[in-house]
Amino acid sequence: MSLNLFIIQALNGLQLGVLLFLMAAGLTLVFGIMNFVNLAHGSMYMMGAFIAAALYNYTGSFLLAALLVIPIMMLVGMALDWLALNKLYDRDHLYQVLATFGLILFFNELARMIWGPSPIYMDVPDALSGAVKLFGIRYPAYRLLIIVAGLAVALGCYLLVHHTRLGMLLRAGATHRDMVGALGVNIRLLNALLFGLGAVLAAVAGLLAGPIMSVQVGMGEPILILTMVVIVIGGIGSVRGAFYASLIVGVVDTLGRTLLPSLLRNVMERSSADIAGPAIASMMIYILMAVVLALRPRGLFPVQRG
Amino acid sequence: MSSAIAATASRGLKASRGRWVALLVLALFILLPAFSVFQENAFTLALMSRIVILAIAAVALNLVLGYGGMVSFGHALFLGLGVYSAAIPAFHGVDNGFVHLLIAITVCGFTGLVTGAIALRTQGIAFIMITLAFAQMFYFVFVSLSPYGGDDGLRLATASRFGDVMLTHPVWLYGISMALLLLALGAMHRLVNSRFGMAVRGSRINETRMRALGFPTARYRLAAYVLSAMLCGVAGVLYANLTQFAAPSYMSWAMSGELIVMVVLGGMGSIMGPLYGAAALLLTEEALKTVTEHWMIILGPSIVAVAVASRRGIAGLLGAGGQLSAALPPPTPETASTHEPGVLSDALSSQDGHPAKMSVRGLAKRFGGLLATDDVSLELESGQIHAVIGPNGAGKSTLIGQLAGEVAPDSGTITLDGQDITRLPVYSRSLAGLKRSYQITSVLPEFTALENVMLAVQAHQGHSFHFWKPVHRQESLKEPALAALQEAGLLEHAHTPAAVLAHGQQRQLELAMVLAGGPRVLLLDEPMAGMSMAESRQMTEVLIRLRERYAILLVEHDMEAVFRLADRVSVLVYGRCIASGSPEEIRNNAEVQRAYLGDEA
Repeated sequence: MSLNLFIIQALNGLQLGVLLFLMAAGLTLVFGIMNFVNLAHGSMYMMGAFIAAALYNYTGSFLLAALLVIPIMMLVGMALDWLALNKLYDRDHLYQVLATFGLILFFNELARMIWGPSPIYMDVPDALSGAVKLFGIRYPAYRLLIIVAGLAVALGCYLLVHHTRLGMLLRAGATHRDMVGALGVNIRLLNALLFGLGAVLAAVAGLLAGPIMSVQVGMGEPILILTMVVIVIGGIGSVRGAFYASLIVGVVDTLGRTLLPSLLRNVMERSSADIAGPAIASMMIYILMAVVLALRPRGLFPVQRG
Repeated sequence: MSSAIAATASRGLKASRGRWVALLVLALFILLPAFSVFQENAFTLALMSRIVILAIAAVALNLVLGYGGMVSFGHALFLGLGVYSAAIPAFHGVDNGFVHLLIAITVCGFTGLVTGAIALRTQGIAFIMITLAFAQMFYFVFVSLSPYGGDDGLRLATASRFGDVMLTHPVWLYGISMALLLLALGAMHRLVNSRFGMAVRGSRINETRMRALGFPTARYRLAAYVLSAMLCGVAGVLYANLTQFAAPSYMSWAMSGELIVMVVLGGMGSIMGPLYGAAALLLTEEALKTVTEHWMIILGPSIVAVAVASRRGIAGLLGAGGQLSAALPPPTPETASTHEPGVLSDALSSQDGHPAKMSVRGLAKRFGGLLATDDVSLELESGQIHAVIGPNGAGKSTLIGQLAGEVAPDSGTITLDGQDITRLPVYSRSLAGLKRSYQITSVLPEFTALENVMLAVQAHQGHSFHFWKPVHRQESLKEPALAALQEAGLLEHAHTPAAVLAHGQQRQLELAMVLAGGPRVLLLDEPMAGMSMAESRQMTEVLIRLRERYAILLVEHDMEAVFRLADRVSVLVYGRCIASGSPEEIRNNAEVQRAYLGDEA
């Protein structure tokens, strides 16, 4: 394997990591602050991708689709919270799992009814269809955009949580929920906003992923489970942990899948390497998770709870 | 008292109704294949087989989820491994069903042991995510195993053969599945009421308390998880024969979710619940399929509604919700002990060990900037009550927490009979005779007073890996437990659920649990907190009797009681021991008066 290919794959890993972080940030905030397990987070990713694809194909403008999908998904997220999920905040995690499992089935079927069972494709926007020269390597401009946009959103999240009034309330609500309520803050509205924000972040991930992966029913669950691995590794509730763990998981998964099969060919027969390679590669991040848990059961950046 | 009896009686009535429904449903399932209409209609028979087989998997999940309180979102993994345990040997020409079952049980048991050991290092949400992640990991492994069909799956080359019986015949498949379900239900009924079952259920209800009683809870949880995985694997072998197919999708998150829906819908922690839930979910699915091809658009929100509304599931509605009541003996007044209260019965004192001597040297604990325990040293020995007093926030409960092993000290040593126990886990200290009560009552509310105390006896006796004999028929548990209840003055409430006991009675129950566990050192954290004057006086009498037998550390705000009971008093202020001596010395100590009793005292 050449150095160029290695760098390209590392960048691809970084790009997957950034998408994972967009997912993980919303999920871990909702968990950390509302103590709520939201399996339907993957459905927000899928709906974001579908709605963006539909808008893009209709208007022909990627930017317009992006600008429209954000308020739409904000409303979808808030509506979900108001209709069903806020009744489950004080209940056992089991019931939250159950309800959001039901929502996954609902959204998957909804998408199938509206857009049909076969994948739909989103073109890379014309302006970004070329390649960019980076360290002497040609790398697709759109993938670079994902990395840049994702990092920008990460920075935005950091500023929101640490340097705004809303962020202050969110942080206070995470550890002293009742106290914040007693101080006269509308906790329900705060929760709905947070839920909406999580849905928007997931939808942005779906929107960005649309042109490089096919948009199809059920696309949300594999990435949801990857996101959960990220959150467990990073420490549940920690945005900082989610950031580092996203990048680690993205890079390990991508490099594992490309490097491992060829590495294995050096040590075993080609036929068995071709079978074992992908199998072991698909296990890598889970093994990583197991190792992290064995050493630090609360993740790399555990949140201190008061 | 009378209301408690009425409640128990109505529970009994409901339970008997639940039992009749259960028998009726089972009879229906057993007799079904006898009707020719089912034999001729392959679809219906296959559907019923699916219900029965998935009910076995749900029974397995119920052990973990309903009784153990572990939300596993990855149980389809074991179902899928069971499916491949039949399909892969069949692919290689092995059709012996016993071999398939053996492989399934071994593989699932081992996988359950490894994944469970890792997942159980965490709790709550992390446990959910990790079980889901492990299932997904195996899903991808089987997707990439191209020799066995990969993503496309693998047709079952040959059905499992048990002697002369091939499982290709739908009636045979149904019959064997039904027999295994009955076996599983029966075994589960025995298991949850056995010593092992009580340990697992107790760990769900109040894990901290169970550890303090002397149970290494993680061990029982892991064992339950492994057992559950094995049973799920058995269901998988049957499922492979039903669908004649093996595919990674059998271990997908959607399958895990369906199993959870079955358990919750049917009623968690009830024996029959999983069967009710499996039948209800699968029949609903079939009914919805006849309405629209997009049936999931209805099923999804229905599951949301179940989650929002249901708490006890179908079994609860039918009256089998009081899960234990079926196994409880009728509430007759207990007459086991005939001796006067005030004299410790033989049954109870036989639990006691030799006299104890405990010493604490230079103990310190810091929480951030707060020094909660600052170089504290004290001695406890049998026959003495050592009282620790101090204003609120002086670090008294933190001190007890460190002695009991719940809080790790930063420095200092704790020895019991000369042995260093500073780093010993809670349950080992408890088994060594170090027993604590809690400032805020900590009992197992769903169990009766007697069951609470029996758990304490059980922990002391060890032997919790017994899976068959119901604890209610074990005199070796019951007798000491009743004696302890009598000692604590709670005998007449032996069969009352702890949740409905009055506050003072719950405190008495805590004492009984401490006494029944073979104590040598008692760590009592404000045993009189919230008690009435009369109850307080009664508790003082009890403590006077206990003094001669045990080494007692008493944290208490009731000064009258402290100065009446204590042989030694230590005064904690801001984590530091400012004085230690006889009650008389403490009473006359100027520094104590200033710091604690107030200037005017």
